[in-house]
Amino acid sequence: MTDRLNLSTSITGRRRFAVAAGGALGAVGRVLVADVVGRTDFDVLWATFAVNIVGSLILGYVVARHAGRSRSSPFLIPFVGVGVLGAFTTFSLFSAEVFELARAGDWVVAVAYPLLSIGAGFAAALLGVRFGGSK
Amino acid sequence: MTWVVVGAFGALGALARYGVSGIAQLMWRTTFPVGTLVVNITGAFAAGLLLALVTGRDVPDLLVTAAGVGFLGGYSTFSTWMVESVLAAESGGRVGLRRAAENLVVPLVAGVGAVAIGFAIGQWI
Repeated sequence: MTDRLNLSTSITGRRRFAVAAGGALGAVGRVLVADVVGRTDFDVLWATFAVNIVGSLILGYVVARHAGRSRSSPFLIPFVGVGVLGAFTTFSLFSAEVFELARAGDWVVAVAYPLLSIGAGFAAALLGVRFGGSK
Repeated sequence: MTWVVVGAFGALGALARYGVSGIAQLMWRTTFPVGTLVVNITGAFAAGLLLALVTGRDVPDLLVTAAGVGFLGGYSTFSTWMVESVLAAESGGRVGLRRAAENLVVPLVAGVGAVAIGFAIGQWI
């Protein structure tokens, strides 16, 4: 009984480590994309847009793939889903950007940006789920 | 230097999210992905607060990047929000579609609202 408890705590500990390691990678990845986009004429807004859409596509694929397999690593979702893609994509910056656009009185973009993000994000996630689910 | 700081704070943010969303999902036993909602709303609130606190103040860039890009970026998530919405839609029928629509609209409205409240409190401090 004690052994089983020890085993379960060690697995949770390893899951946490997977989350943390993935989170570090994802956050650095997002800075990298923002850095590259920042050097072009594109608005930083579109860096957030790009990471959010790409992240949704990949997560959809990974989740569907994971669900379809009986022998899938218990660290896959904590590492890739919560860690890497959780940190790569961002909700807080997305909301703050919408708020800033509205505050600046830029109403067209303030309405178009969240609608486009959600529309494209949902479509990307759906595409990922369909790809990942197909045998 | 920036990368190391962002990576470290991203790891902390991801860990915090893992804990908070897990606890929230246990507290409210519902099919609605409340864990993701809780981290995203609290993350948006914190982003608004941070935005107000750094505006017009001489705060080191690295600190803002660590907190805003690293921690809050790792803490909040867009991809899980989208995939959970897709899974809700795929759960079947009109109920599934309604759940998906709810899960897209509620966090969006609540998120921007949370930024505004955080910002107002930050200005007031």
